[in-house]
Amino acid sequence: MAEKFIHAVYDDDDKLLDAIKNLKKNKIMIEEVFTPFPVHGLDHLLDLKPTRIAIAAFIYGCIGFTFGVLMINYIMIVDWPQNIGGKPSFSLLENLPAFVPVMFELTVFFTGHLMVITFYLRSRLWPFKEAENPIPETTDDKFLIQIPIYGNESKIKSIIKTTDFYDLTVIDESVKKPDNTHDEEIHNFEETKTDYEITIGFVFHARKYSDGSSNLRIQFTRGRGQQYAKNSGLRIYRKHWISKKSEVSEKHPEYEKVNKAISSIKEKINSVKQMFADGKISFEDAYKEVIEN
Amino acid sequence: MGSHYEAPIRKPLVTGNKTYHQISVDVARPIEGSANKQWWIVFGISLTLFMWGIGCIIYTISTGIGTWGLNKTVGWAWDITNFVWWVGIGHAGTLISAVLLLFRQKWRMGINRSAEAMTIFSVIQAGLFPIIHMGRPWLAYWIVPIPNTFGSLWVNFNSPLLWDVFAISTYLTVSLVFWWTGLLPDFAMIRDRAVKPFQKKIYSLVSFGWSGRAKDWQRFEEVSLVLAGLATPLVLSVHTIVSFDFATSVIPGWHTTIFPPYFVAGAIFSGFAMVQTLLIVMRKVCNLEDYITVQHIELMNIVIMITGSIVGCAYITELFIAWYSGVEYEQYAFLNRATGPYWWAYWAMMTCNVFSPQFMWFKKLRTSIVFSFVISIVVNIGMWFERFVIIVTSLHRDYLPSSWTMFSPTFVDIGIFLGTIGFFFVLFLLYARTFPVIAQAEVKTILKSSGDNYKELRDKKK
Repeated sequence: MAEKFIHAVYDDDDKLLDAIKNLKKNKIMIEEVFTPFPVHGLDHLLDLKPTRIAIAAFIYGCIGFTFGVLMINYIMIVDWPQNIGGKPSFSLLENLPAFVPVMFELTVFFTGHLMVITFYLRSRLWPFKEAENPIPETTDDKFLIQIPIYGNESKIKSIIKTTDFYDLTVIDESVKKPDNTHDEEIHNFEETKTDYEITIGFVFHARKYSDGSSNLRIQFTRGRGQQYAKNSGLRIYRKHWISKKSEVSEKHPEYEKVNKAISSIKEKINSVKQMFADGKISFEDAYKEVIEN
Repeated sequence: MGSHYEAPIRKPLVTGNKTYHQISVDVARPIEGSANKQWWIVFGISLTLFMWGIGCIIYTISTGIGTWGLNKTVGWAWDITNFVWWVGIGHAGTLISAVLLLFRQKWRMGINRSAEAMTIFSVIQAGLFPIIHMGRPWLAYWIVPIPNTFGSLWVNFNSPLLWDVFAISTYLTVSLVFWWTGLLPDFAMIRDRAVKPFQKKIYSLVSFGWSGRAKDWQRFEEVSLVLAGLATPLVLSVHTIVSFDFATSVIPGWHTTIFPPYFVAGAIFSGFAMVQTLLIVMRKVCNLEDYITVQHIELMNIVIMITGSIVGCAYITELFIAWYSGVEYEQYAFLNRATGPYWWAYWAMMTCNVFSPQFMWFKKLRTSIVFSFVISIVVNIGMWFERFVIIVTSLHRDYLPSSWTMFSPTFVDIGIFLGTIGFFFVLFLLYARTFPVIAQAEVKTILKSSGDNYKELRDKKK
């Protein structure tokens, strides 16, 4: 299995289908496609084999029907035949009309449940199963093609760039990703979603100095996408950082001085947000207003 | 856009210039936002009714069925009326999601999720009544086939009451997995949007790790299709079997071969009426007018009108056959229904079920939201009376005039019925706050063919 992938993201199902046609024409292997809804014709385009789940369902139905016949025959005819209103209680066939409803229900019961269980197991769906879509937007409005790289990265990229793509990322699984929860923490002032909004928060540089302190950086995010971080010039002991308040606790050396510096940065951040909202500065230049002044 | 073509004569099913993302936002909004005051008020009332119902159930079980208004002649009354009423309501959901899927009706997508939820919640209410009526509900497991060592004989597979056990439990569980399978991609959408950690955890759990791979979708569509193919005969079988509870007996008024189709039509009729009642309120409260449009309401009204007319035909056929049979017991049963001491129930049923849906022939009335809501309530009332008329008027004057008597409910009968209405609304209100109430993944598939913005775009090109 390849350790490097290209994730090509599209924002429309027709663009996705065009891109897949393009990739297929150039004999590029597609490993997986993630979509927010069933895209008509996608399975044919990816040459997926027809699913055999309906055949399985038929077999389950036969099992259910057989179970029904055997059970009713045992209970009503073999084990304890009773004279019920003079009905022919000693023959399954002669008594069959009264048994049809339960046989039918058992057939449906077995087919329905066993088929759904089969589907869940084959598609690996069960409670506590972790979701595997690479970006969360693929359940909303984005369509992602996962392409394994076997030394043909630039060729794939050039093909994708001819399509109407939304985003393109290279994922390298051979390089271990830094564990975000331990090395870097993002403290956002607020949650924002649209591309027209800017989020500015504090993060710590992953590397610690020998005395245990690390650089406090300011992170700029546009919507859910572009992101960069700049050093604030402050060196802080992370163990004394209060993430809820975005300031240091009293145990931090010179904590008053440090908190004063942080609060002046916060003020600048607020004014930058306003300037960005008013369209006075671009996202790329936003850091200059915070750090260089 | 060639593959998204739809005849221009078809009205848009998604309005408001939606994009794929906008659909997600609209469906997630009721879940991510907080409940308003009206929700809490309605929830409080429902919960109170539910608690009152529980109190009445406890009283029934601890004291006995004698607390109900039943007597030696009328041994089935409100309990079975309520049971059949709830089961009937529970038929629209699967009909919408299964039958309309087989017919490729796109308008089902805006309403199928809530209709299925309604199905499941109402079948739960229905199931309560036979269990309480057993008197000793802790022995309810005796209705499943268990051997003689328990002290009783095997259950009787000749009995329609046992068929009911199998039919309703199959219906409830198959509807539940059908519903849940359809919910997986929508729960996944909520999960991937969630910002609160607790919310994320819960929706990760219930979405079963749905990722939306191409192969998953292929299987998903196949499973939906096969389940729809299974659920269609299932839904017809369930009410057929419920009608057998009556039709296989020898009581005049019950012993009729018309019962299965007549009951199924009545069930669809009452089920659609309840869907209409719920959705007219929900589309307003949850701001879903763009997904549950007037077009949806009109189509449901047409179904209500047609099934109501089928039910009307059945009523008249019953009267005719009673006269034509020449059997005086049968003739008296129907004469007694229309002119006997319960004449008011019979005429309430006739007015609500046969006359009121005929207003839907007028386009102006069937596209009016207020009028549709009123008619949906009227139909729900009428269908309750239908079951009451069938059950009580047939029983209270049977072959022996010396046993003739009347039935009147006690506060316990009424309390349990109101309790199930409360329980139903408690479940539905919780559902409306925590579940994606529109099958958003499915709606996204029809956006390009039935969205108003895309339709306009195509019209302009011509």
